[in-house]
Amino acid sequence: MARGDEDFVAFATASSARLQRAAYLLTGDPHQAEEAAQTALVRVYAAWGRVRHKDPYAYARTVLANLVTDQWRRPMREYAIETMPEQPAPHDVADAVSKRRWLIDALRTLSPRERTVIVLRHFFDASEADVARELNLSAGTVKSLNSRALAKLRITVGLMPPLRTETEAGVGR
Amino acid sequence: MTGLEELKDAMHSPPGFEPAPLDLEHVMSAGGRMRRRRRFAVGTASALSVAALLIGGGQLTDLDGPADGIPVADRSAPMPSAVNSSAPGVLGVVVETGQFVDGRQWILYVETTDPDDLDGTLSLVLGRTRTGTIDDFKIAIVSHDPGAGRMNPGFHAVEAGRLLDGRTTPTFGYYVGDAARITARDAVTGKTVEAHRAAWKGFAESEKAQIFWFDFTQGRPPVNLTDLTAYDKNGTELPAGR
Repeated sequence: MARGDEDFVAFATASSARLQRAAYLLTGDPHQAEEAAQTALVRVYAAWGRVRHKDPYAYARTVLANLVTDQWRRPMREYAIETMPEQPAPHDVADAVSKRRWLIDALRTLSPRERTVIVLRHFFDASEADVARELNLSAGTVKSLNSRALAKLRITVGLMPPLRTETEAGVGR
Repeated sequence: MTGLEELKDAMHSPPGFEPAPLDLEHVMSAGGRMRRRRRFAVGTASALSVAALLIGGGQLTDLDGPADGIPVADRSAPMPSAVNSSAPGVLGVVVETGQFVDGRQWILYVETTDPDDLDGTLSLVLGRTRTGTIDDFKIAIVSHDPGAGRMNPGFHAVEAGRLLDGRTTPTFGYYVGDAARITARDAVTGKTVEAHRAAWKGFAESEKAQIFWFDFTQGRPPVNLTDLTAYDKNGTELPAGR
Protein backbone atom coordinates (compact mmCIF):
# COMPACT_ATOMS: atom_id res chain seq x y z
CA MET A 1 0.00 0.00 0.00
CA ALA A 2 1.38 3.40 -0.95
CA ARG A 3 2.07 6.01 1.70
CA GLY A 4 -0.77 8.14 0.38
CA ASP A 5 -3.13 5.20 0.68
CA GLU A 6 -2.08 4.61 4.25
CA ASP A 7 -2.78 8.24 5.01
CA PHE A 8 -6.17 7.98 3.35
CA VAL A 9 -7.10 4.85 5.29
CA ALA A 10 -6.15 6.62 8.50
CA PHE A 11 -8.21 9.65 7.49
CA ALA A 12 -11.20 7.58 6.41
CA THR A 13 -11.11 5.47 9.54
CA ALA A 14 -10.99 8.53 11.73
CA SER A 15 -13.68 10.48 9.92
CA SER A 16 -16.17 7.90 8.63
CA ALA A 17 -18.29 7.79 11.78
CA ARG A 18 -18.60 11.55 11.91
CA LEU A 19 -19.40 11.77 8.22
CA GLN A 20 -22.07 9.12 8.62
CA ARG A 21 -23.61 10.98 11.53
CA ALA A 22 -23.68 14.16 9.50
CA ALA A 23 -25.21 12.31 6.58
CA TYR A 24 -27.81 10.83 8.90
CA LEU A 25 -28.70 14.29 10.17
CA LEU A 26 -28.99 15.53 6.61
CA THR A 27 -30.96 12.63 5.17
CA GLY A 28 -32.75 11.15 8.17
CA ASP A 29 -32.14 7.70 6.74
CA PRO A 30 -29.43 5.34 8.06
CA HIS A 31 -28.95 3.58 4.73
CA GLN A 32 -28.73 6.80 2.75
CA ALA A 33 -26.34 8.10 5.36
CA GLU A 34 -24.02 5.16 4.94
CA GLU A 35 -24.18 5.43 1.16
CA ALA A 36 -23.60 9.18 1.17
CA ALA A 37 -20.64 8.95 3.53
CA GLN A 38 -19.10 6.19 1.48
CA THR A 39 -19.59 8.14 -1.75
CA ALA A 40 -18.05 11.21 -0.17
CA LEU A 41 -14.99 9.17 0.78
CA VAL A 42 -14.78 7.81 -2.77
CA ARG A 43 -14.51 11.37 -4.03
CA VAL A 44 -12.01 12.29 -1.36
CA TYR A 45 -9.85 9.36 -2.37
CA ALA A 46 -10.13 10.35 -6.03
CA ALA A 47 -8.85 13.80 -5.11
CA TRP A 48 -6.49 12.65 -2.37
CA GLY A 49 -3.36 13.88 -4.12
CA ARG A 50 -4.76 17.41 -4.15
CA VAL A 51 -6.46 17.55 -0.78
CA ARG A 52 -4.33 15.42 1.54
CA HIS A 53 -2.02 18.29 2.42
CA LYS A 54 -4.81 20.86 2.62
CA ASP A 55 -7.93 20.07 4.60
CA PRO A 56 -9.34 16.70 3.53
CA TYR A 57 -11.98 16.83 6.22
CA ALA A 58 -13.33 20.13 4.93
CA TYR A 59 -13.26 18.69 1.44
CA ALA A 60 -15.22 15.63 2.59
CA ARG A 61 -17.71 17.88 4.35
CA THR A 62 -18.24 19.90 1.20
CA VAL A 63 -18.68 16.82 -0.92
CA LEU A 64 -21.16 15.36 1.52
CA ALA A 65 -23.22 18.54 1.66
CA ASN A 66 -23.31 18.70 -2.12
CA LEU A 67 -24.29 15.05 -2.32
CA VAL A 68 -27.48 15.69 -0.40
CA THR A 69 -28.19 19.04 -2.04
CA ASP A 70 -30.75 17.41 -4.25
CA GLN A 71 -32.73 16.61 -1.12
CA TRP A 72 -33.55 20.30 -1.00
CA ARG A 73 -35.72 19.83 -4.02
CA ARG A 74 -37.47 16.68 -2.97
CA PRO A 75 -40.42 16.24 -0.68
CA MET A 76 -38.94 13.30 1.21
CA ARG A 77 -38.69 13.98 4.92
CA GLU A 78 -39.48 17.60 4.47
CA TYR A 79 -41.89 19.05 6.94
CA ALA A 80 -40.83 22.65 6.69
CA ILE A 81 -42.79 25.17 8.66
CA GLU A 82 -42.85 28.80 7.67
CA THR A 83 -44.42 30.23 10.79
CA MET A 84 -42.81 29.90 14.13
CA PRO A 85 -44.92 28.56 16.95
CA GLU A 86 -45.60 30.66 19.99
CA GLN A 87 -43.08 30.75 22.77
CA PRO A 88 -43.69 27.64 24.85
CA ALA A 89 -43.54 27.18 28.57
CA PRO A 90 -40.39 25.45 29.82
CA HIS A 91 -40.57 21.76 30.60
CA ASP A 92 -38.31 19.34 32.32
CA VAL A 93 -36.75 16.70 30.19
CA ALA A 94 -36.97 13.18 31.42
CA ASP A 95 -33.61 11.97 30.25
CA ALA A 96 -30.80 12.86 27.92
CA VAL A 97 -31.53 10.19 25.36
CA SER A 98 -35.15 11.11 24.89
CA LYS A 99 -34.18 14.76 24.66
CA ARG A 100 -31.58 14.02 22.02
CA ARG A 101 -34.13 12.00 20.10
CA TRP A 102 -36.54 14.83 20.39
CA LEU A 103 -33.99 17.34 19.12
CA ILE A 104 -33.15 15.16 16.14
CA ASP A 105 -36.86 14.93 15.36
CA ALA A 106 -37.07 18.70 15.69
CA LEU A 107 -34.20 19.01 13.23
CA ARG A 108 -36.32 17.18 10.70
CA THR A 109 -39.00 19.82 10.92
CA LEU A 110 -36.61 22.24 9.26
CA SER A 111 -36.52 22.71 5.54
CA PRO A 112 -33.67 20.72 3.95
CA ARG A 113 -31.75 23.90 3.27
CA GLU A 114 -32.09 25.11 6.84
CA ARG A 115 -31.09 21.67 8.06
CA THR A 116 -28.00 21.61 5.87
CA VAL A 117 -26.90 24.99 7.17
CA ILE A 118 -27.46 23.88 10.75
CA VAL A 119 -25.43 20.71 10.25
CA LEU A 120 -22.56 22.53 8.58
CA ARG A 121 -22.51 25.35 11.10
CA HIS A 122 -23.13 23.48 14.33
CA PHE A 123 -22.13 19.89 13.67
CA PHE A 124 -19.04 20.62 11.59
CA ASP A 125 -18.46 24.04 13.17
CA ALA A 126 -17.93 25.58 9.75
CA SER A 127 -17.89 29.36 9.55
CA GLU A 128 -20.67 31.24 7.82
CA ALA A 129 -18.28 32.18 5.07
CA ASP A 130 -17.29 28.55 4.53
CA VAL A 131 -20.91 27.41 4.49
CA ALA A 132 -21.78 30.13 1.99
CA ARG A 133 -18.94 29.07 -0.28
CA GLU A 134 -19.64 25.37 0.03
CA LEU A 135 -23.37 25.70 -0.63
CA ASN A 136 -23.00 28.45 -3.19
CA LEU A 137 -25.18 30.80 -1.18
CA SER A 138 -24.63 34.36 -0.13
CA ALA A 139 -23.34 34.97 3.38
CA GLY A 140 -26.54 36.82 4.14
CA THR A 141 -28.64 33.86 3.09
CA VAL A 142 -26.62 31.53 5.28
CA LYS A 143 -26.95 33.88 8.21
CA SER A 144 -30.68 34.18 7.66
CA LEU A 145 -31.21 30.44 7.27
CA ASN A 146 -29.18 29.74 10.38
CA SER A 147 -31.04 32.29 12.47
CA ARG A 148 -34.42 31.14 11.27
CA ALA A 149 -33.59 27.48 11.83
CA LEU A 150 -32.27 28.10 15.32
CA ALA A 151 -35.34 30.10 16.16
CA LYS A 152 -37.55 27.29 14.97
CA LEU A 153 -35.57 24.70 16.87
CA ARG A 154 -35.50 26.56 20.12
CA ILE A 155 -39.18 27.20 20.05
CA THR A 156 -40.00 23.75 18.81
CA VAL A 157 -37.87 22.26 21.52
CA GLY A 158 -39.81 24.04 24.18
CA LEU A 159 -43.17 23.54 22.58
CA MET A 160 -43.21 19.78 22.44
CA PRO A 161 -41.17 18.15 25.18
CA PRO A 162 -40.57 14.42 24.94
CA LEU A 163 -43.50 13.27 27.01
CA ARG A 164 -43.01 9.89 28.53
CA THR A 165 -45.39 7.32 27.28
CA GLU A 166 -46.76 4.77 29.66
CA THR A 167 -44.35 2.19 28.35
CA GLU A 168 -41.34 4.45 28.62
CA ALA A 169 -42.30 5.67 32.05
CA GLY A 170 -42.90 2.18 33.28
CA VAL A 171 -46.37 2.91 34.50
CA GLY A 172 -47.69 0.19 36.71
CA ARG A 173 -44.30 -1.02 37.78
CA MET B 1 -26.40 23.87 28.76
CA THR B 2 -27.86 26.29 26.28
CA GLY B 3 -30.25 25.09 23.64
CA LEU B 4 -27.50 25.28 21.07
CA GLU B 5 -25.19 23.10 23.13
CA GLU B 6 -27.96 20.59 23.59
CA LEU B 7 -28.53 20.58 19.87
CA LYS B 8 -24.84 20.00 19.22
CA ASP B 9 -24.80 17.21 21.75
CA ALA B 10 -27.81 15.60 20.11
CA MET B 11 -26.31 15.91 16.64
CA HIS B 12 -23.10 14.23 17.75
CA SER B 13 -24.99 11.36 19.37
CA PRO B 14 -28.21 10.94 17.41
CA PRO B 15 -30.23 8.25 19.19
CA GLY B 16 -31.00 5.18 17.17
CA PHE B 17 -28.14 5.64 14.75
CA GLU B 18 -24.87 3.79 14.86
CA PRO B 19 -22.30 4.41 12.14
CA ALA B 20 -21.50 1.28 10.18
CA PRO B 21 -17.98 0.18 9.29
CA LEU B 22 -17.42 1.31 5.72
CA ASP B 23 -15.88 -0.85 3.04
CA LEU B 24 -12.67 1.10 2.50
CA GLU B 25 -11.46 -1.39 -0.07
CA HIS B 26 -14.48 -0.56 -2.19
CA VAL B 27 -14.03 3.15 -1.48
CA MET B 28 -10.45 3.08 -2.72
CA SER B 29 -11.30 0.93 -5.70
CA ALA B 30 -14.11 3.24 -6.81
CA GLY B 31 -12.08 6.33 -6.02
CA GLY B 32 -9.17 4.98 -8.01
CA ARG B 33 -11.40 4.41 -11.01
CA MET B 34 -12.72 7.95 -10.73
CA ARG B 35 -9.19 9.30 -10.51
CA ARG B 36 -8.16 7.40 -13.63
CA ARG B 37 -11.21 8.69 -15.49
CA ARG B 38 -10.32 12.21 -14.53
CA ARG B 39 -6.77 11.79 -15.67
CA PHE B 40 -8.02 10.47 -18.96
CA ALA B 41 -10.39 13.38 -19.24
CA VAL B 42 -7.72 15.92 -18.39
CA GLY B 43 -5.52 14.42 -21.06
CA THR B 44 -8.17 14.63 -23.75
CA ALA B 45 -10.09 17.77 -22.90
CA SER B 46 -7.99 20.87 -23.29
CA ALA B 47 -9.33 24.30 -22.50
CA LEU B 48 -9.99 24.71 -26.19
CA SER B 49 -11.99 21.54 -26.38
CA VAL B 50 -13.98 22.57 -23.34
CA ALA B 51 -14.91 25.79 -25.07
CA ALA B 52 -15.74 23.87 -28.23
CA LEU B 53 -17.81 21.49 -26.17
CA LEU B 54 -20.01 24.28 -24.95
CA ILE B 55 -20.46 25.59 -28.46
CA GLY B 56 -21.22 22.06 -29.59
CA GLY B 57 -23.77 21.75 -26.84
CA GLY B 58 -25.56 24.73 -28.23
CA GLN B 59 -25.60 23.19 -31.65
CA LEU B 60 -27.04 20.02 -30.28
CA THR B 61 -29.98 21.87 -28.88
CA ASP B 62 -30.99 23.28 -32.22
CA LEU B 63 -33.99 21.22 -33.19
CA ASP B 64 -35.12 23.33 -36.09
CA GLY B 65 -33.64 20.76 -38.44
CA PRO B 66 -35.11 17.47 -39.61
CA ALA B 67 -37.65 16.04 -37.24
CA ASP B 68 -36.59 12.46 -37.73
CA GLY B 69 -34.04 12.48 -35.00
CA ILE B 70 -31.74 14.54 -32.90
CA PRO B 71 -28.76 16.01 -34.69
CA VAL B 72 -25.86 14.29 -33.00
CA ALA B 73 -22.46 15.87 -32.89
CA ASP B 74 -19.22 13.96 -32.70
CA ARG B 75 -18.66 12.43 -29.35
CA SER B 76 -17.15 14.99 -27.09
CA ALA B 77 -14.47 14.28 -24.61
CA PRO B 78 -15.70 13.98 -21.06
CA MET B 79 -14.94 17.04 -19.05
CA PRO B 80 -12.78 16.91 -15.98
CA SER B 81 -14.02 18.22 -12.72
CA ALA B 82 -10.58 18.62 -11.23
CA VAL B 83 -10.84 22.38 -11.06
CA ASN B 84 -14.00 22.40 -9.02
CA SER B 85 -12.96 20.43 -6.00
CA SER B 86 -16.47 20.05 -4.68
CA ALA B 87 -17.97 18.79 -7.91
CA PRO B 88 -18.39 15.15 -8.78
CA GLY B 89 -17.29 13.97 -12.20
CA VAL B 90 -18.95 15.64 -15.14
CA LEU B 91 -19.53 13.14 -17.91
CA GLY B 92 -20.38 13.89 -21.51
CA VAL B 93 -21.59 17.07 -23.12
CA VAL B 94 -22.55 20.19 -21.30
CA VAL B 95 -25.78 21.42 -22.85
CA GLU B 96 -26.47 25.11 -23.27
CA THR B 97 -30.11 26.11 -22.99
CA GLY B 98 -29.57 29.51 -24.58
CA GLN B 99 -31.35 31.13 -21.64
CA PHE B 100 -29.52 33.58 -19.43
CA VAL B 101 -30.15 34.99 -15.99
CA ASP B 102 -27.94 37.48 -14.20
CA GLY B 103 -25.42 37.19 -17.02
CA ARG B 104 -25.11 33.43 -16.65
CA GLN B 105 -26.43 30.84 -19.05
CA TRP B 106 -28.49 27.91 -17.81
CA ILE B 107 -26.73 24.66 -18.61
CA LEU B 108 -27.55 20.99 -18.15
CA TYR B 109 -25.04 18.22 -17.68
CA VAL B 110 -24.54 14.78 -16.20
CA GLU B 111 -22.54 14.05 -13.10
CA THR B 112 -21.58 10.67 -11.76
CA THR B 113 -19.55 9.35 -8.87
CA ASP B 114 -18.82 6.14 -10.75
CA PRO B 115 -18.78 6.12 -14.56
CA ASP B 116 -18.90 2.33 -14.42
CA ASP B 117 -22.21 2.42 -12.58
CA LEU B 118 -24.33 5.02 -14.32
CA ASP B 119 -27.41 2.98 -13.53
CA GLY B 120 -26.98 3.76 -9.88
CA THR B 121 -25.06 7.02 -9.85
CA LEU B 122 -26.13 9.23 -12.77
CA SER B 123 -27.38 12.66 -11.73
CA LEU B 124 -28.60 15.41 -13.99
CA VAL B 125 -27.54 18.90 -13.00
CA LEU B 126 -29.08 22.24 -13.85
CA GLY B 127 -26.47 24.92 -13.43
CA ARG B 128 -25.43 28.35 -14.60
CA THR B 129 -22.19 29.55 -16.07
CA ARG B 130 -20.76 32.85 -17.19
CA THR B 131 -17.51 31.71 -18.78
CA GLY B 132 -18.33 28.17 -19.83
CA THR B 133 -15.39 26.79 -17.90
CA ILE B 134 -16.09 24.08 -15.42
CA ASP B 135 -14.80 25.93 -12.39
CA ASP B 136 -17.45 28.55 -13.08
CA PHE B 137 -20.42 26.18 -12.99
CA LYS B 138 -22.92 27.19 -10.34
CA ILE B 139 -25.18 24.29 -9.41
CA ALA B 140 -28.88 25.11 -9.05
CA ILE B 141 -30.60 21.71 -9.00
CA VAL B 142 -29.18 18.20 -8.84
CA SER B 143 -31.75 15.65 -9.87
CA HIS B 144 -31.70 11.88 -9.99
CA ASP B 145 -33.96 8.92 -9.44
CA PRO B 146 -33.61 7.12 -6.14
CA GLY B 147 -31.77 3.82 -6.22
CA ALA B 148 -30.74 2.08 -9.42
CA GLY B 149 -32.37 1.89 -12.82
CA ARG B 150 -31.29 5.34 -13.92
CA MET B 151 -30.43 4.05 -17.39
CA ASN B 152 -33.67 2.12 -17.87
CA PRO B 153 -35.84 3.18 -20.81
CA GLY B 154 -38.09 6.10 -20.03
CA PHE B 155 -38.06 9.47 -18.31
CA HIS B 156 -35.71 10.19 -15.47
CA ALA B 157 -34.79 12.96 -13.05
CA VAL B 158 -37.65 15.16 -14.23
CA GLU B 159 -37.86 18.43 -12.36
CA ALA B 160 -40.70 20.88 -12.82
CA GLY B 161 -39.86 24.49 -13.51
CA ARG B 162 -39.92 26.73 -10.49
CA LEU B 163 -38.80 30.00 -9.07
CA LEU B 164 -35.52 29.37 -7.34
CA ASP B 165 -33.98 32.29 -5.48
CA GLY B 166 -35.91 34.58 -7.78
CA ARG B 167 -34.75 32.82 -10.93
CA THR B 168 -37.05 30.88 -13.23
CA THR B 169 -35.79 27.37 -13.91
CA PRO B 170 -36.92 25.16 -16.79
CA THR B 171 -38.77 21.90 -16.57
CA PHE B 172 -36.04 19.42 -17.46
CA GLY B 173 -34.94 15.81 -17.27
CA TYR B 174 -33.49 13.09 -19.42
CA TYR B 175 -34.99 10.33 -21.48
CA VAL B 176 -33.44 6.95 -22.21
CA GLY B 177 -34.74 5.69 -25.52
CA ASP B 178 -34.96 6.60 -29.17
CA ALA B 179 -37.33 9.54 -28.86
CA ALA B 180 -37.87 11.84 -31.84
CA ARG B 181 -40.20 14.16 -29.93
CA ILE B 182 -40.82 14.88 -26.30
CA THR B 183 -43.92 16.87 -25.46
CA ALA B 184 -45.93 18.06 -22.51
CA ARG B 185 -49.22 19.84 -22.01
CA ASP B 186 -49.57 23.29 -20.54
CA ALA B 187 -51.95 22.66 -17.65
CA VAL B 188 -53.44 26.13 -17.95
CA THR B 189 -53.87 26.62 -21.69
CA GLY B 190 -54.06 22.95 -22.67
CA LYS B 191 -51.56 23.62 -25.41
CA THR B 192 -49.01 20.94 -26.27
CA VAL B 193 -45.42 22.13 -26.11
CA GLU B 194 -42.32 20.40 -27.42
CA ALA B 195 -39.09 20.03 -25.51
CA HIS B 196 -35.62 20.90 -26.69
CA ARG B 197 -33.46 17.82 -26.78
CA ALA B 198 -29.74 17.18 -26.75
CA ALA B 199 -28.00 13.86 -27.24
CA TRP B 200 -25.88 12.61 -24.38
CA LYS B 201 -23.40 9.73 -24.25
CA GLY B 202 -21.35 8.13 -21.54
CA PHE B 203 -18.20 6.11 -22.11
CA ALA B 204 -19.90 3.00 -23.46
CA GLU B 205 -21.78 3.04 -26.74
CA SER B 206 -24.87 1.74 -24.98
CA GLU B 207 -24.86 4.63 -22.52
CA LYS B 208 -27.10 7.06 -24.36
CA ALA B 209 -29.81 9.44 -23.30
CA GLN B 210 -31.47 12.65 -24.32
CA ILE B 211 -31.31 15.64 -22.05
CA PHE B 212 -34.43 17.72 -22.53
CA TRP B 213 -35.94 20.95 -21.29
CA PHE B 214 -38.91 23.10 -22.07
CA ASP B 215 -38.98 26.76 -22.97
CA PHE B 216 -39.25 29.13 -20.09
CA THR B 217 -39.13 32.87 -19.61
CA GLN B 218 -36.97 34.54 -17.04
CA GLY B 219 -38.87 36.79 -14.74
CA ARG B 220 -42.15 34.97 -15.25
CA PRO B 221 -43.56 32.15 -13.16
CA PRO B 222 -42.79 28.72 -14.59
CA VAL B 223 -45.42 27.04 -16.72
CA ASN B 224 -47.18 24.11 -15.10
CA LEU B 225 -46.66 21.19 -17.45
CA THR B 226 -48.33 17.79 -17.39
CA ASP B 227 -48.59 14.68 -19.59
CA LEU B 228 -44.93 14.35 -20.38
CA THR B 229 -44.73 12.04 -23.40
CA ALA B 230 -42.04 10.71 -25.73
CA TYR B 231 -42.67 9.66 -29.35
CA ASP B 232 -40.56 7.82 -31.87
CA LYS B 233 -40.00 9.09 -35.42
CA ASN B 234 -43.27 7.48 -36.54
CA GLY B 235 -45.24 9.28 -33.89
CA THR B 236 -45.71 6.19 -31.76
CA GLU B 237 -45.73 6.80 -28.05
CA LEU B 238 -42.70 5.41 -26.25
CA PRO B 239 -42.51 3.99 -22.73
CA ALA B 240 -42.50 6.61 -20.03
CA GLY B 241 -40.69 4.33 -17.61
CA ARG B 242 -41.38 4.18 -13.95
